[in-house]
Amino acid sequence: MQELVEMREVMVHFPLQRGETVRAVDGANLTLAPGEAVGLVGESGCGKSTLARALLRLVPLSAGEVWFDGKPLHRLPERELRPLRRQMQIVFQDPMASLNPRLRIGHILTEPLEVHGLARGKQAWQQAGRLLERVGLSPEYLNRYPHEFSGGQRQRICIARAIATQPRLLVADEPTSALDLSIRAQIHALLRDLQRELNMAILFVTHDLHAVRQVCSRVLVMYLGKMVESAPADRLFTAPAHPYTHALLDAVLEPKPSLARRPRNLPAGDVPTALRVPAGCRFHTRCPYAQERCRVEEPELRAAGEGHQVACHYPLSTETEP
Amino acid sequence: MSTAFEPLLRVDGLTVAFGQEPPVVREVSFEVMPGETVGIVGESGSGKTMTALSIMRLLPPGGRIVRGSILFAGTPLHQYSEAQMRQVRGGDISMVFQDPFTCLNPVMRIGEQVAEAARLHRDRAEGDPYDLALQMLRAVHLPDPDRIARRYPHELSGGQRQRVMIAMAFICHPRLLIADEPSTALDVTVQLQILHLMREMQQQQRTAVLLITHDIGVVAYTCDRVLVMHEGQIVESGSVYEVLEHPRHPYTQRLLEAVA
Repeated sequence: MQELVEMREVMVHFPLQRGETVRAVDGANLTLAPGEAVGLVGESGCGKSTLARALLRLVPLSAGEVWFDGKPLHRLPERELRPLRRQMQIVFQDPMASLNPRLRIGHILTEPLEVHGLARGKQAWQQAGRLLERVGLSPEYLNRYPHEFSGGQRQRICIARAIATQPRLLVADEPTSALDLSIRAQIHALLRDLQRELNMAILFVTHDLHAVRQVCSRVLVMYLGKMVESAPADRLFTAPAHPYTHALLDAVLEPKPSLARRPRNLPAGDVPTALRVPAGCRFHTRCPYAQERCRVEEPELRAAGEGHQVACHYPLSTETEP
Repeated sequence: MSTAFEPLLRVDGLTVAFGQEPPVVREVSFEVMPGETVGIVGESGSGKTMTALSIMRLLPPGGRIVRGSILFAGTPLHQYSEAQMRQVRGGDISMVFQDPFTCLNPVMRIGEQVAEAARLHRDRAEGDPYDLALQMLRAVHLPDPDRIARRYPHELSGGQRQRVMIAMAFICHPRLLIADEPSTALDVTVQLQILHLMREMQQQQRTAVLLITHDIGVVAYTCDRVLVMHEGQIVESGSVYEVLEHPRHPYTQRLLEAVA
């Protein structure tokens, strides 16, 4: 089956003054099958949001290729890109900053329909009402303004706007990080329902591993601009092969003291800056298992089981229970 | 003076309101014993931060303590003048906030900022303030403290900046540290390092900690007791083992289900 998205050796570098370069994305690969929900996880500054934006061509690529539904986005002129835009939508972290405070919800939702010539006038308004219902809000809200809603409701409105054009890909960039816990779970359930019903692929960008578990079937782990591991969600959570993935999972604090106070083997220090990416394996400066080879030779992604890839010279045992 | 059997902090019937609006904190009562770590957990708008700011008398403009008392080692903080409170802040009671970047002066070198904290309370921090600052930067495990001391906040990572905040908070040996989401803005692999560091400093100096957070995992990891706040009130309190392993209040149960 043809992939919906394929990103190959993508680089996004930001040159600074003094000849320095921020290597935000530094040779990342990513594929998404049609209708697949994939989580892209990593800590702040790892390049996950930049990679997601590069996929939508919201930031320019420094190198590499981005294919969407067989079309080379990386070399399409803006004019040819525009009709494809309705196929790929994005939802951001802060719903208030993404909604025009002066527009009624009805306006916000009919705009994409009219821009892409899908509906207009009364018909568009009715369709907007159905979109609101689809995300669990009353169509009566069409006449209200964004400030009249809670954070969770606003994010539902952003999602309604994103699915208005029936996209094949939804990029969700930390869509629930600003919301309270009890609201997060509801938005995750909504995203999962929409993905299944609309057969829409989701790239879920987050630092929250718990969220990934609720939404995604596959997970990519990014560290300092590169993928370090890719695996089916079940497998990643039970048998991580990369020491960094293991550290991310191990750092999650359980809500019960009897579990939270277990001993942990955590990496030392802070994440290095993307201005000075370490030689060899990028994680070697913090890795508890680093050896000489890790300091000089950069590991490539290679198979570590069914649908499982890891970029590590000495991956952790991925044997699951017999 | 309080003894080990008397609470260091006793908040009784605290009610906080803005203007004529309904109170954001309602009849909140709790105690913190010397050396104890107490967590206040709740979602945004629950009143947990307003409770902490009331103790420091740092409520935002328009906010006021309508009723209730705040006794610190027997002295009534709620009746203190602003001048008296300035002696308390950074001395007997210090604070660590979520975002170390906005708490640090961007145009002042790190060493000077930490030293200034000592200069404001000469009675509590004996010796040359700059030397004390260097000692504290070492105590919070910053690599090469002499070099870090000459840097500006923007030259440090988020984790390093939070270590600097902890150095400042502990330089005058506070009896109570109020920490408002101290690890929330940090990456998960760095968050635990900071929580460990707070525990280490707290044990060395026998400081009591009031930890404000929305993260139940952080409470489970660090606190002795926990207060669960919802809509301005404490709905459940007790040891973390009681409350988090066997929650009784439906709201606590819901909160825990959301993270299970």
